[in-house]
Amino acid sequence: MLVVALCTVAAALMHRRFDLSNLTMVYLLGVVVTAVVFGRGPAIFAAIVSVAAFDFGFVPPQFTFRVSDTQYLVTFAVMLIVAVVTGTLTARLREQLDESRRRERRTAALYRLSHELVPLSLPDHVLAVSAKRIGEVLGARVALVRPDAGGVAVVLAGDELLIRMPEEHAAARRAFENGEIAGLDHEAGDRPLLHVPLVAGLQTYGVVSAQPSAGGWSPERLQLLRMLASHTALALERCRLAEATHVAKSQVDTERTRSALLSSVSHDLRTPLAAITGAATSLRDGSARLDDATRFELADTIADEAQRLNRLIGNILDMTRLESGTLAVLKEWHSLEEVVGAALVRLEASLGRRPIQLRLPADLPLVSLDDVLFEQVVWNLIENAHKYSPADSPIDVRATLDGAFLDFEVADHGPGLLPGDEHRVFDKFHRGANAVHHQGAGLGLAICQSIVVAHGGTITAANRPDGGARFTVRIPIGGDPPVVEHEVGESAAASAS
Amino acid sequence: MSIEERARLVVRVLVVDDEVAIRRFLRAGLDVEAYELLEAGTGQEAITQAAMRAPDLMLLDLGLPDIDGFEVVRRIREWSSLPIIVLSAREKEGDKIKALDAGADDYITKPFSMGELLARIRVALRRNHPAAGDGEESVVEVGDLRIDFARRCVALAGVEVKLTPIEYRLLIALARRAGRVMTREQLLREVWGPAYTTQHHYLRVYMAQLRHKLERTPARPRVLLTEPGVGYRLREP
Repeated sequence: MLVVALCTVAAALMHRRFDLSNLTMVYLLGVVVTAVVFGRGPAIFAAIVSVAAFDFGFVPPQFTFRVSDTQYLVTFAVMLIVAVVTGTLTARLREQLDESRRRERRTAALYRLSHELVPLSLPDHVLAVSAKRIGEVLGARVALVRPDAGGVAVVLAGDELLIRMPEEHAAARRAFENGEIAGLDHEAGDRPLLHVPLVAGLQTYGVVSAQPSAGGWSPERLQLLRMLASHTALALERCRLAEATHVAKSQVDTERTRSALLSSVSHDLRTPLAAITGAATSLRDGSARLDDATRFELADTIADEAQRLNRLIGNILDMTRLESGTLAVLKEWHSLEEVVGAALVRLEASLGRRPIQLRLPADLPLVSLDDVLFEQVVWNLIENAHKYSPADSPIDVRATLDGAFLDFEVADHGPGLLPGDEHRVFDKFHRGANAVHHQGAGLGLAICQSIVVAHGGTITAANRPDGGARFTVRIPIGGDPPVVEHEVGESAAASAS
Repeated sequence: MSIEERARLVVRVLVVDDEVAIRRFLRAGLDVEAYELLEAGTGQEAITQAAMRAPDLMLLDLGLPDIDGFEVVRRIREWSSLPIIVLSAREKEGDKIKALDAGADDYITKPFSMGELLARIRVALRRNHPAAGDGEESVVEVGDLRIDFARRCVALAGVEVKLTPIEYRLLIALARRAGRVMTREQLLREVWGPAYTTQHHYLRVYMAQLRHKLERTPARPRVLLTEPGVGYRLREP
């Protein structure tokens, strides 16, 4: 109406100088503007009103609806037809433009969502991102839920308070079980809570429950919700498949490790067992005929082989616990000297008179480590050096401080490592070429590596320039050790005599 | 307790383990040393035997089928100071500490040699039966180290060593139970007080100081031994 009124004013101003036929153009312009701005219906209405206004205002006799000249009836008819057609076409153009804009927005929203979901591998992250994005895109309160055994919709991500009424829980459950949208049927006010299942492949991963913050569920909004839901479901499916692949792969790895372990272990376990069985049965069956020296030798064999078995089983258990992650690293502030000392005391019997050259700086600070595990590392490294070097050659044990790191080193004067073995020595079941005569399942260094890595450190192997192998453990000190107050009234005077 | 029981010279050892094989080899090994052997396969049986037959020492496996080993220790400690040595697997540091803190005297890790076990038994028995006439042991000698409680004097190879009060208290705490393990908590409580039982680093600093004064090679201790994850032990005299 306003547009028509404006057109009338404009036409009135032009009336003096222009033909009536030109004035119809002004009205047509008005109809086009109406179509662009308000759409098809208002445009048709404007066309009719324009014709009436033109008749009333300009066609002689002016200010009546009567028409003196019948040819004007043709003008009116043409004007009406042109106005309606132009208006309709313009309006449709506008609708198409709107639709393509909507489509563009929808595509952008979907693109953004899938773009954000691609790098995610954890279902929880997918759920959180989806809930947030769907809410933003739709202008709605959104919760991603999954009905539990009792039919209660458990919120996995999004709005915790969205689903409250029992019938809402039931609707979410229906959506989940039937794999179909639920909540459309019962119109709970003009902003119904909708439940769209997250279906991908043969799996239903959950339900998107959404309620618009303003407005209702227009078809476009509904479709957008469906599409966002299906993207979310696909992302969840991807997570599940990735996880399944990962599990399958690690099962293959585990299987491979297990068969290597079995072949190694069955040999390593049977050898000492055979020796024990043989020695024990000899003692039992032939005890009358054996002299004391033989009896002692047999008993000694049993004791040694049993110890070897014990060590092997200990290593296998450690490895298993380290790999399964059931072994917790309990770090405390320890003195390296004490840990090395404990290992050396435990090795006392087997080291015998072997010289150990210790170089531990007196001013080493306390280091944050797990004493039981780290003692195991020290023990393994020294035992290794003992095994692989001539019995009377010294073993060098030293530690140095390098900034925030502690370097601990065990070196021997044996034949050293073969080229290329520097990395392989830490592999499970690897035995150096020099190891032919030595027992063990090749687990000691692998265990060391696992423990050191669990301490946030590294272990490396190299040959010393003057011969022999050197193993270096590098672990972070772990920050500033706690302060131990000095004794009151004590001073340097109380130091050792 | 009857007169003849009081007079008996044979030492009775109660072995508590549900594994028959372990009991069998202990029986053989302890028999040679002329110990009298009592056996129990469950915790309940162990408590009953301990009450009825008055053993002089108990060897207790922690993995019993009915009651937790440390629970057995706790219940026996309610009425008896019977020396208890715990037998346990290597990786069970937590269980060892629990049993020791419940009042067990010492532990030995399976598998162990008969020699090790006999040494532990001797140390544990010495606590309950101090040598006649000795009264309170006033001097402990381990290798070069001589600790004279009465004179509050510590000497290494005949040369007196000056210790700070805390170092001395720590050494005394270990020496009073020479040969037996003491948990970190027990030492912290005894030397620093109950408020310090979680301050394990105090122990590490002072043990290092002690070793530097009393050990020839502190990183290869001969006397002040560490039991990783559990505590400390002064080597058996």
